[in-house]
Amino acid sequence: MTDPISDGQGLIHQLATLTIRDAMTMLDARAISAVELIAATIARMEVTEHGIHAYVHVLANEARQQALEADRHRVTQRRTRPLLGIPLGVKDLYDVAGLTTFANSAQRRNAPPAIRDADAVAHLRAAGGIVVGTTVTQEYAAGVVSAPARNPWDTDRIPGGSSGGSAASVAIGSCLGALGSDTGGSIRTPAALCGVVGLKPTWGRISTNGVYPLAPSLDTAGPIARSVPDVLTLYLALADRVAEIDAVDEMLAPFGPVGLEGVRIGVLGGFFTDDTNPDVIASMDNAVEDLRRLGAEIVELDWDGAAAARAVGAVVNRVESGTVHHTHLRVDPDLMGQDARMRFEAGQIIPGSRYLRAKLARQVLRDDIARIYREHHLDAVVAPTTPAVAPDAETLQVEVPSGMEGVGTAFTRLTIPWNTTGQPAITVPCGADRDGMPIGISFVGKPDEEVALCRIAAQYERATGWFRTAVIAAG
Amino acid sequence: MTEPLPPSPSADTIQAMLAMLGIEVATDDPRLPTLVREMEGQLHFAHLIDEVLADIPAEAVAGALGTFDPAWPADGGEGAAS
Repeated sequence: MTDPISDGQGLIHQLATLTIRDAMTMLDARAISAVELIAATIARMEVTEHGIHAYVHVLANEARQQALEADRHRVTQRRTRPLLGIPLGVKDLYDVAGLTTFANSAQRRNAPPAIRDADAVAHLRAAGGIVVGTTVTQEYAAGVVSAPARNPWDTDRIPGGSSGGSAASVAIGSCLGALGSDTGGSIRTPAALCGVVGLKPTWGRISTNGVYPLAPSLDTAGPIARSVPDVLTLYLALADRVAEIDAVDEMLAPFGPVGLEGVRIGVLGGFFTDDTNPDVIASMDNAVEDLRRLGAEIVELDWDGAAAARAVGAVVNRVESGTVHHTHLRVDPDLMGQDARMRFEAGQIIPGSRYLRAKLARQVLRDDIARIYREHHLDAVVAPTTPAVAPDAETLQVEVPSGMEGVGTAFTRLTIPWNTTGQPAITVPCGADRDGMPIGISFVGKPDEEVALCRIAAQYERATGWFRTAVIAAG
Repeated sequence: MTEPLPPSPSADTIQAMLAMLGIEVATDDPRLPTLVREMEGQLHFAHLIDEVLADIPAEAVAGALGTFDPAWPADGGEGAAS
């Protein structure tokens, strides 16, 4: 497939495949200026938004002004602000000073503008990033459709969610990286369905202050970008580790001449593959062979607790989101969409004892997965990110071996176990189905070992190069 | 051993439970069948969780749930509920 924005406007066209790391190098070398990069980003957005609808607010004037400042202060600020001039999107769930956080709900149509940036937004700006706009989410982040945003690979299909606008904007090149949030898979699912990379950090480590909550004990802030080095770059900014950003290449060094020598990777079957589409299974099988070829020691596993980990996530999600939205169910409830309303109402009537037992089981399951890593000496486990590719936006169903499944369950059941355990997880493109729609593989690491996890995922990405082909323009 | 699954709440029961909480759902509301399916799923989830906790003694439950920090916030009580 070709990019229709191939009209000779170099940088606008280049945005289809440019990474944050590439852009940083070009900015440092003065091959481009921040003003040029932001202008090209806005221009690309103007062309692509007709088909993708990834953005809620576009901050064109503010971004141009900040680009001027970035170019003016590059010499003095570059060392402490390595993202100087990088165009970024922010999910419309994060407060951005001066903008109303709509969270895609009519209930928030008249909400006042945010007084200050969410902590995560402030961290990215402090590192030099330029927010070019806020991106479409599902209403209150409770779902996977993200209407009206569409999938850049096929605009008849959904981008996934709830960070659908963020993933779509990265995939189409109307920003180089974006913030998402993940309560049951909302970073990883849209990243996988749009053919980009998404990192859900360890729960509780990146501030969610200023992010509209869904289920606070699961909610996780994190980045979506086009490559593993890019998501690690954004993660370091979010984690207030800006000084380490220039060392990302060293952090992601191969483990040996081939790449993954000495690394032990568990390959999860059972719950993660039993009801998964054959095209996804085929891509996973190829990915595992790639990992083996890169020198990794492969351990095939079946985690008995996976179904329960999904159950815990589902109970906690419903009850906490029902509690967060208690008032919204009673004041102007008709302004809330049917899907969100049903979810939050269900959360109201699940018995308190069920919630407390789910919280208790969460600790048991955390200890159980820790035991598995320890007993098998694992550095990471891998599994499909989703059981199927992005479906048509009208049907909202996917085909799996057991039949047709609604997107709400299909696109959370393989991701939410890792919200329950709180582990970091990263999705990386690993192939495409027979129609060319992207498929993602998830690497899941140990708590607080995001860098080690990214290092493993980077070897796979570098060897297979799927992300390089994962960006096309709207048809 | 865990108990067998009890019957899932009916549409009438769900309506009544929500009504007790001040949320009205009409009998012909399209959300109602979805809520019934959702609660069926929740029952299945509860069963899976019961299996995980089947061997957990009451003392461990108390240890895990009986946590609360009575310390006042550093700002002198200007907390979320103030």
